[in-house]
Amino acid sequence: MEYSNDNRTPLDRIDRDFLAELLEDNGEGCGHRSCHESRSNRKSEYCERCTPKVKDNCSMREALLDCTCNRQEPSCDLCRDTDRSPKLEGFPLAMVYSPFQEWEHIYEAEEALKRGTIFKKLDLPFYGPTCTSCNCNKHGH
Amino acid sequence: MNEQRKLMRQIQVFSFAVYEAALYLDGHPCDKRAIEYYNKHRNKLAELTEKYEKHFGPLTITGNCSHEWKWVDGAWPWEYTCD
Repeated sequence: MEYSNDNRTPLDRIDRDFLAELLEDNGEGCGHRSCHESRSNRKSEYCERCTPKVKDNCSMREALLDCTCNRQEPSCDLCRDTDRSPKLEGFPLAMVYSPFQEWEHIYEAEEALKRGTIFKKLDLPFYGPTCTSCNCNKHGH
Repeated sequence: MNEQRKLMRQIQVFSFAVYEAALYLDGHPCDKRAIEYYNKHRNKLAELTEKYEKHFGPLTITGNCSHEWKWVDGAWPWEYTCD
């Protein structure tokens, strides 16, 4: 097997402009990674550019990043939105990292059962799968 | 909520905490705070389980703490309701 001589870290490999774009995300955009339409210019919770892309029957409209539109509607634009992974072509498929968990911020036992975890830091919103095609009415588990 | 259900709820709460700590400890076997948490909650769970089984019958097949066979007295899985 041949290994690449490219010793750059994944961070090094990210396009500088793209990285800046990610880091500059100050919550003003509509939720689309590359959308910088300010809230005041928007007619709805989505920016002008993104609004028409979400079908009415999309079951999780409020989950801005993740369309779980009905698979019977193969024309949902959001599902074909190539904006969601710009400039990542050519990257290795599976380079995933996770910080080492530490024992901290532990819920009281009663609260933990309600939240589904004893770890406050793992108590995160779940928006379902990120769809990359329109065959997307699958909620991940 | 009657006493039995209250106790069962507490058992569920502490079981969950124990399992969560156990999963964490699988990856962090030397974490003293986690072990301390595990022990504390495990002891509480054992205490609650003992109390429950003494008053309301065995929770598992190993929990029969009577000179009579109480295991068959409780509700069977198909007899539970979702109230």
